[in-house]
Amino acid sequence: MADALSPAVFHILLALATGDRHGYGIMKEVLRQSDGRVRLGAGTLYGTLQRLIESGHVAEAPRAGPRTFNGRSRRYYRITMKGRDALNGDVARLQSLLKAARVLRAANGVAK
Amino acid sequence: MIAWGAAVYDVLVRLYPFEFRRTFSEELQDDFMVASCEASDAGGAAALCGFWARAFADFVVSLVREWLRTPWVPILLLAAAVSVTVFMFTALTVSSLPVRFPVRPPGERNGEALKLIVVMTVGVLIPICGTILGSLWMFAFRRRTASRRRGPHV
Repeated sequence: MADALSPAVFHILLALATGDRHGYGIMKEVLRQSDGRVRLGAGTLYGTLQRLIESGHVAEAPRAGPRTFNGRSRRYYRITMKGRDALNGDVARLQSLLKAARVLRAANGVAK
Repeated sequence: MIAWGAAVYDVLVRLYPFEFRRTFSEELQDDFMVASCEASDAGGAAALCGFWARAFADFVVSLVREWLRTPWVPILLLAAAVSVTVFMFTALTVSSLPVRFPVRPPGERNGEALKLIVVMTVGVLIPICGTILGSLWMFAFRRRTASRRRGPHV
């Protein structure tokens, strides 16, 4: 079974799974995907991104157009194949856990 | 008010380690500015203060985390331990020496000032030199192992 990803890593990879995003875009996507429950701070986001880039799970995306903000260019990030594999592995692990939890609840007569 | 908060945040960002700051400081500042504007537009001053409180909490946590990733913390801790040990050992050894120092300043009994100079020289300069050499060694070590990659499961 794959190692569990930390919550920040999981949410960042999940946000990048649907397309290239810049840092603030990742924060907004994480907030949207979690229905407002998970707010990634900027320090946590960029620290985690740095580690993901170092480990080859995320890469800087080539610039496709004039993406600028405040006169400064925005960096976009892209999930790599290694990152996608790690995300898929963790999703499978969570599905397995969820299945086990449902069986347990059904056995205890809690689930309806 | 937003500009004031952004100015404070710019100062705080400078407290991050150099490498992290060099890579992400512009993005951190831009994101803070955009998020401040959005919070202010959405809920006024109360929402803005709430965002600032969350941003500050995240800043403190990430600041500690990023500094712990640098080689400086273990080096400084080691240097502090070595400094205290060497200083205490030198002070105890020199103060218990039965011999008198050959040069005695006028008005001093048993060369107490010279003893102090010896203690300070050995007990302070050696740890400082050790810290500098240790830092240089750590940088060389990190350069050699730069190709080693860490996983994200931390």
